[in-house]
Amino acid sequence: MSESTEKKMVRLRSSDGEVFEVEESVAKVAKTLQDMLEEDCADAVIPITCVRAPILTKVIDYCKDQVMISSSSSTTNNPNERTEQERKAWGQKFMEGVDSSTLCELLVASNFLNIEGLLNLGVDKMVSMIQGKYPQEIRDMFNVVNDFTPEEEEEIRNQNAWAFERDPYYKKRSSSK
Amino acid sequence: MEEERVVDFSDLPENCISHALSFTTPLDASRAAVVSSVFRTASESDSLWQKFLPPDYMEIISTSASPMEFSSNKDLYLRLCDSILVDGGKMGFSLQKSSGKKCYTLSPRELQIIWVDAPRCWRWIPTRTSRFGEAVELLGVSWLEIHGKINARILSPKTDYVACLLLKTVDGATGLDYPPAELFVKAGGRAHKKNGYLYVDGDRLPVLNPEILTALRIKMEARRPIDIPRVPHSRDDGWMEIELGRFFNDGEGGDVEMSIMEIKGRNLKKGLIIEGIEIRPYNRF
Repeated sequence: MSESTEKKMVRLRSSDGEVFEVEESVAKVAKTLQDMLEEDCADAVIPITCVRAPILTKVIDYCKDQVMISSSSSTTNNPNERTEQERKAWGQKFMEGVDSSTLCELLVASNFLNIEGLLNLGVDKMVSMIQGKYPQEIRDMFNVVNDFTPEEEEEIRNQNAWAFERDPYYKKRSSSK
Repeated sequence: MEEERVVDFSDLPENCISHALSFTTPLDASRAAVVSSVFRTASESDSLWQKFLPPDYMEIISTSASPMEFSSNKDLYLRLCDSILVDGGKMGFSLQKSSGKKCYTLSPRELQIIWVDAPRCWRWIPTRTSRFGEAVELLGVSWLEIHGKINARILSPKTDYVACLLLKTVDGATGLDYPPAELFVKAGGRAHKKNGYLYVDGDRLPVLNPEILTALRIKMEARRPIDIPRVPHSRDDGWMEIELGRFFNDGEGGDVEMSIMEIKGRNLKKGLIIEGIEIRPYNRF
């Protein structure tokens, strides 16, 4: 009787106040939550302070999928089991259409929640986006503010001059203003 | 109500950016330094450049002829992009800057040169422009035969390589333009052989040699493939190079054998200066 078949639920609150109810096994995919739940220091609603609702939705989707593929992995011929190739394709599909700001939020979320697999997917995506790009393209893509003074930027360029033999995006900034 | 702040890259831990950069190339990582201060710190981390250094870099620098001092792994990486002498000065070593792949130069002392000990055939000359401080000059042989060997284990695995003979010719060089030398590379059981002229006199391409023209015409008439011999090309370091051949290093180890031979013409050959054989990564485009 005490061995309830009912699945234990956990509630998570996003930074913008939305509450998500998920199975404990799903929440535990995130190492940070797993530790909290195992040490029993989780409140009734766990606040995920740095993750907005749309991002948390995506994170939960990922965790649900992880539970699905691992739940029946002990049985042979697990229909959900994936080959390396399928896993890669799934990851690509999952990250498809993720723009740079979403990617950034996903990276912050998976880093905070300590979800290695999702962090790796995000890193892969980031790698594919920055490969072969010049600084201005990276700034534009990820909305990164150039916090160097023109003199500092010039100096760092000079230190790495070999990497900038042809930078079509670079115009020397004037420091007169 | 608290104003909602959207997270951006400045919220990412630097090691996350650094981790991502480690899957790019040294070129990408160096460019990223200019993006912003967060990117700069990430792009200069020791753990990142440790990944770009070859796994056995400690072993390599321990055999360096001059002590290596460096302030960071990136600093060491860049120092290794300029050739250093390793293995008791017998080999030059460097990294290809954009990829971090290994490049070796066998010094002429490491090559097996037939008749090198005969003072009338070859002589060692102190050479300021040589990375080894000396080169070997051909005074006169009719039998030109040079062999080089390197263990593929020390090269970067899963990498296309090209081997080149580094050379110069002195004024009055003779016998090197014709007949062509046989250039040979063998690696992983695959051998490649091709002809090449070790010397090309400015305007007078040896291809225009009447004998060659006749040979070409016969081949063309027979519709046989025309094999145009290789010629030396200028390098930035003042030496010339002629390609010996290309090979793919699958990472299985084993010897890579290279040779230059001209033993059929039986003519006197002289005026060639050898700096060594360079084995460097070859970028397919």
